[in-house]
Amino acid sequence: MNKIILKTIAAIGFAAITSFSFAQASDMRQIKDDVGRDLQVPVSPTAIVALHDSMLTLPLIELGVLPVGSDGRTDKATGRNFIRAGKSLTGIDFDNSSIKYVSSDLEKIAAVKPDLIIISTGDQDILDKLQAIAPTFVIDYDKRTRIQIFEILAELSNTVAKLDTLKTRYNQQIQDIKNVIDTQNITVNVMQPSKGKILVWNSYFSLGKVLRDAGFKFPKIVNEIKPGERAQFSAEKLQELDADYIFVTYRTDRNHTPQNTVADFEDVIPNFCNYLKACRENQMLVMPREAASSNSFTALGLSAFTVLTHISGNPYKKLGK
Amino acid sequence: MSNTHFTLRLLNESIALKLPKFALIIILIICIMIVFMIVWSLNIGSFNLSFQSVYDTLKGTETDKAANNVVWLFRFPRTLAAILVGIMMALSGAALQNVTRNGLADPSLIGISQGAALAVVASIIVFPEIDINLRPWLALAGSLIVAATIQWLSFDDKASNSLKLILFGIGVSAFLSSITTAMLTYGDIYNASSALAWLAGSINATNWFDVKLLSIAVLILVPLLLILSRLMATLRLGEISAISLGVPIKFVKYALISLAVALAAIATSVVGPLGFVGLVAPHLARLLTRSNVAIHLILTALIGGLLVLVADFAGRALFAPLQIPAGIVTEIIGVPFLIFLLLSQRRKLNK
Repeated sequence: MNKIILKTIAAIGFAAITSFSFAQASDMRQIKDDVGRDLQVPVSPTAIVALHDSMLTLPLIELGVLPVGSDGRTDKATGRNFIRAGKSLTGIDFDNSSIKYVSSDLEKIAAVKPDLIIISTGDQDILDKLQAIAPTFVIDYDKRTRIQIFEILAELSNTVAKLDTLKTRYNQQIQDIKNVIDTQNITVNVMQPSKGKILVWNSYFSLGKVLRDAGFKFPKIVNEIKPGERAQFSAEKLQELDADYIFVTYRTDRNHTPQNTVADFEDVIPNFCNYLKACRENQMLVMPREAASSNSFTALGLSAFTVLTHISGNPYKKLGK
Repeated sequence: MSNTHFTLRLLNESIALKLPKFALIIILIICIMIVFMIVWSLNIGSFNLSFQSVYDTLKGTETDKAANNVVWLFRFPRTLAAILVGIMMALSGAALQNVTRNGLADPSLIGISQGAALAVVASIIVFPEIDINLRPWLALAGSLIVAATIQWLSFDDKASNSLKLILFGIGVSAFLSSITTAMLTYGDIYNASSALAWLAGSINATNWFDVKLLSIAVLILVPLLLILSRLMATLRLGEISAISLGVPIKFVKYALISLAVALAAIATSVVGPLGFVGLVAPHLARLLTRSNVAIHLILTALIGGLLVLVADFAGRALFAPLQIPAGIVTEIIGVPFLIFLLLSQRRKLNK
């Protein structure tokens, strides 16, 4: 009798374990991607390939997911492949993690055996081939804000709880700025000198989001740029672009320094500082572009901290006074 | 049968072709090189597959899904597409060099690349919501409209004018390129990089539908060009000589330009602009052997196919996983060749 009971329990146990394992392996759900395709994707993917480093891979790492493969950049001098801002914002890169650099090489992607591939609309030309490897979700950067990109990545990677924690931290950082700075009465702008012109975004990625969310005001000429887009200005517009505080950035991934940005400003107009009150009054702040532009909560935090520490508590010269 | 020529007699000698032996040997060598490259191309890549595994996959006995994908979906269609595109671009260049009697003519001269580029870049940057599957058709339409416009502008009442074709081609192409550049400069950065990837001319994305489309185009257009080869030979003698031999100059020129446009436009619509193949292949064929026009066209086609196949293979394998578009590789090969061509022409003129 005991043997029969034991056998029955063992059989039920075995059936439960196998059905659980089967359910784990085969749990799929339907989702619509940003180009309107209905996809069957794993509920909890274990091998994700992300084909954009700073827009897709960085957020996944911050959500606690290490993709099995990612696109990246190549250092022209050394040939080394890297995730832009990977080490500075997350501590993770190709050379110290299990993430393989796959570029957009279909064979490399197939070799890492992904169960989910995430791409942007820019890679749609190889979509059919990627889809043959694994379900491929297309994200349209024009249809989503950066936070919304985080949200869909969290949904796809089953890490919504982690995203909620990151959002809570960010909201507190914004509140910390509002608590000590009269943001409503301070104008700010983020400029990027390039090839003799000034590039301005509405708004400048992570740093721009922090400044907008904190309630700072932007010059009229910046508000007139369509949200999410950029405009190019000549030196003649420098005074209209001026603000109480100006932020400028430099690229660390190309080993640039703040001096590179200063030199780029000099290309726009010699002695540029004379034309910008913020610069004359030492209210032009320089920060690494990766921290100001990456799609990352660490970047948002660094931007928020820079704003908080550089603007709060200091007497400043108001524009026009 | 002479020492230098071989006579091919068909249908009870109703067709007899006198073929130069040396040219046939060159054709045979290039065919062997193409077959070798196909085998190599199917076996080499970022995904490690043994020769046996590739062979089993081709036979249909390989069960691994990834291996099947790599061979049947990735390597095979792009290998065939590279050869077909090379054939088409090369023959387009050969036809244009013949009709303009200008050794520097290639498909970009008559606005094909620029027309396709403008249409596709506009669709990516100005109308990003347009379905990506429409891109080849937009490229084709852009190429044909611009090529037709240049032809219309360059033909006058009396006869076709090769110099006018070249001048209008350069002018219209430059105008279109400036619009394309403006869109790339001021457009959204992600859309602009997507457009730049297309402009680089990549065979990476080709599939079996593209191979079918290119094959049909080759099967229809190449025989038509070969049929015109005798008339092309008379054009080589100059327009006055050709007219005195009873050649309908205007018809032949229209037909040749139309064929050149169709060949390059279809190829460009599938893979994007592939520079210099149309320029380099006819000259290489001429450098290898002097022959009649038909043999020259066949040799040009094979060299074009081999050139793009090698360019695509080099682009995907040499720096893997970085994928260098074939268009960039053909330009790396083409630009030094163009300089060599110009210098050698200058030397000839100085003699």
